[in-house]
Amino acid sequence: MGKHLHHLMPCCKDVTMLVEKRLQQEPLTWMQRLGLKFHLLLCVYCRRYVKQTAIMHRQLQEYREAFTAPNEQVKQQWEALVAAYLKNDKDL
Amino acid sequence: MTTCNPTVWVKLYADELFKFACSRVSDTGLAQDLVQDTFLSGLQAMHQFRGESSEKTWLLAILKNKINDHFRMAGKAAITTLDMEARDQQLIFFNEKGHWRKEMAPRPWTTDINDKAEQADFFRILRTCMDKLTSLGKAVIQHKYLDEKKSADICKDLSLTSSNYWVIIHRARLQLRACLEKNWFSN
Repeated sequence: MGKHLHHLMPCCKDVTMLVEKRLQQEPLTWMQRLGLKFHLLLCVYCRRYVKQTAIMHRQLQEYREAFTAPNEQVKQQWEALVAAYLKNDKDL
Repeated sequence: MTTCNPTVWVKLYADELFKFACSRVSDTGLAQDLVQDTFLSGLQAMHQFRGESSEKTWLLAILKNKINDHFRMAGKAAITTLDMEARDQQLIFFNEKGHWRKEMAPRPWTTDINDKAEQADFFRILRTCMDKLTSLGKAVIQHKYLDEKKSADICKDLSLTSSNYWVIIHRARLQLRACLEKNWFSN
């Protein structure tokens, strides 16, 4: 029994890969899903990994949105720069 | 021939270009310079603008080139030493049996991200951690989250096989997690 169980059960390294695929909505076989479930039942580290990966995933999705727009003063400088260039360009 | 209209560039595209630059380089001043250079290059090249893409796409392409040039000049080019890539990074995290190494096993995360100010701090650390990834790992994460691309498109853009893609993003995730744990969630 122990022997067979060992073959069914993915190791932590495999589980973290399965977690990655599940996170990115890659279809898993039922064997993989079963192995994942079973492993997570027994392994506190991988349970933490799942939780923490979800936090990372969520934060990374917000990461891009987090950057603020340039301030108005900077934008005015840019406007002036473009205007000056265009004026110069016309004069030439 | 389609012409472009530089008088509205700043109004229409400055925010987006600036945000993009900020997501790729670490300081705001540098991001401002890059966007300014982008406008200047755009002005110099506007007679060559053929309208094959939108003005926005065109300016964004110029900005991307500026960013690449910056990293190339700063010696942080997208080429890191190959042995770094090739070394089996996973042996850092797992032993020969594929179990977590004790010192690398996930610990409970104690610090939450409660508000916008904390999140801004967290993003700073996240960016530092992203900079520590291998060039390929970083590229994959950026394509995935900053450009919101699908896995299949990332493989195409970076010429990766599907299995390589999974190995790379898996490894990047392990590294990013470890780095965040060390620098953010442990104190």
